[in-house]
Amino acid sequence: MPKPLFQPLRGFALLCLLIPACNRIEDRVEITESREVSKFAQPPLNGATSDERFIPALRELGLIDKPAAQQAPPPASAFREFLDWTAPEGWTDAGEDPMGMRMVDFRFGPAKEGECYISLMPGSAGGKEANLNRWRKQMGQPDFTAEEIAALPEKPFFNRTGTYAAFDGEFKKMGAAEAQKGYRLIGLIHSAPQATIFVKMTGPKDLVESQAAAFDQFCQSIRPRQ
Amino acid sequence: MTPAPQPKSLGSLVLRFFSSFGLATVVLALLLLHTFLGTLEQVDHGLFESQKKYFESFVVWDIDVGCCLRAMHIPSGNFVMPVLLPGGFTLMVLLAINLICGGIMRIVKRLNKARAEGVNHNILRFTGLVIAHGSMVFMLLAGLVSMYWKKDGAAMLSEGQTTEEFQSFHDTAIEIQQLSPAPAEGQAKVWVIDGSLFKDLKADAQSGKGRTFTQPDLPFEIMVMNYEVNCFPRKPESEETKRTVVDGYYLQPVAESPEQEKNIDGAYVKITHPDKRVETGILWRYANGPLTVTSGDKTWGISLGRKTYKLPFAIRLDDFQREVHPGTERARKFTSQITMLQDGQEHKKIITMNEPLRSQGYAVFQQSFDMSQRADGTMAERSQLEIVQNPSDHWPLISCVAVGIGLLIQMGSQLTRFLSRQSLPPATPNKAVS
Repeated sequence: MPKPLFQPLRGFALLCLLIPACNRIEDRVEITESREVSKFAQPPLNGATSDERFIPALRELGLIDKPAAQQAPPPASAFREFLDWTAPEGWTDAGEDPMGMRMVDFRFGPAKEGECYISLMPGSAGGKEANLNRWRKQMGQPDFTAEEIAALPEKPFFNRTGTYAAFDGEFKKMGAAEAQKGYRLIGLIHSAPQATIFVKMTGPKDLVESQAAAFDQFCQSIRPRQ
Repeated sequence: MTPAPQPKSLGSLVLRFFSSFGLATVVLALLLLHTFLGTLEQVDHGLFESQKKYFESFVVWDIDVGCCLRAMHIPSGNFVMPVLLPGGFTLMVLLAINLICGGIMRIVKRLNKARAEGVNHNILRFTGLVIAHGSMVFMLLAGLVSMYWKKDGAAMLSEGQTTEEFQSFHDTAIEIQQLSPAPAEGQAKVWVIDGSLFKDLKADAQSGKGRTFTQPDLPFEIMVMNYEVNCFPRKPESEETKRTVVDGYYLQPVAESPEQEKNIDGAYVKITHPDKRVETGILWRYANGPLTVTSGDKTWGISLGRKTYKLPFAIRLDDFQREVHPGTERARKFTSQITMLQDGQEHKKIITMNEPLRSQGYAVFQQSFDMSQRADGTMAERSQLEIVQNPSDHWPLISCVAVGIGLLIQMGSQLTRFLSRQSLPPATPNKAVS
């Protein structure tokens, strides 16, 4: 006959065995949960291979190299090492863009309300037409027609030519609450399959017009570092 | 001769303990300590793990002293101190019991005192006390309901995009869906295996440990095995590898991130067809498409991802606006102009920071945004909306208002009694008749 002391211990040991057993999931489980597929949901890829399923995300996570056309543009600091330019008088360097979009960024005007910057995108970045119309939208203007784009002047740029556009409007900067009236945008785009380079100037109309010659001079001064 | 004190019964001793101010003080002090330690530990361990350890636990087994010191900018090594403290869940249950028992004991004591003094006690005098104690218990109950029944997640929308679903922040699921022939509209259904049913099948637990899932509507059985919390598919560098390679890939486990949202989970699955044909596949949360399985003339997709919940209405993002502080890229305000679609009707709404949309038990908050590149290469902004379904969403507010009312009644009643006593003429001492 076991001693009375062991009886509660045996009970405790049995309880210890039973408690995990309560939470144990069987080795075969019937799926009972389901949900309707939303009519707005994107249909999943059907028949994708393992490469098609995994490689895009692995590239996005930087776990495998991206193809040259998809590689991120070099950081602004790296870009600056490859280029030379001459800043017009009165323009001040705004330093590195925290969003990493602007490679070289200048301010000008009495309250530094004018902006001029260079940006670089890999590949064709949607093409010249899409980017010109993106600028039109920022200025609250309707899209350029194909004829209007064809009629835009070309200016010498980076040993080649770039498409030059200049128009007025209400400028709504990305992230701004309200559009600023009486603004002017002038810009130059050179689009190639490898990369697209933009130089864009915005500011109050009078100020930008007064700096139009400086803009041309700045664009022509941009050259590869010797 | 004074009568000997009556021995207290066990029941009254237990009631006295659970209703004591001492217990309330200790519990509140420990909750304060947990809040302090949890805040410090989340620096290294992440918010999710800290919450689980200090606030959703029965027992706290250790304190990462090294991490706490580092969080306070005090240089330190790695030192984890074993302790045995009641967890946040236990403390809040104790606090609820203390509030209930304390309220009852105070009422009983006052009634007994009044009876001993021969005063007729009005039970309505305890209204304030009951409301205040009850409301605090109600607030704790709100936390419990939220912990077990709240669903929260996010939906990411580009301008013009519509959704009626959101993905959980933490809950994982495997989904099985017929891809072809495509089911008729409204007939498409996804079978869901909740993460709680396979997250224990870790590769390091028991080699080859797996669990088979069946469903009469599915033409195959699916065995889930070797679940990894954080991993990525990798091609073997040499032909000889100990890992299971499927279609040129194996799952490479990596260290778990303290921020749970950053972990990318994956698992192996073994599909057994009715003709005993077996095929193996890899599921990975970031995969660009599901694992495709063909059975007869039908194709099925199996994917692993964050659990998807359905909204009772659809949301279309019409416009997203981001305001920044002048001259900087620091966000000042994010605003999503949306259209709520339900039963063929459209309602225009605005969701902005601290001004969520609330409808049918769901709250939709403006959480974040990101920049993405469109197919044409131009940049587009996407709005991230946090969606919460919490049955106890408004309970803390109701509770706070009720506590305020209860305390006002209680203090008002005390003040009235005090003033009425003050207005009584002072009692004159009895003079001895000579």
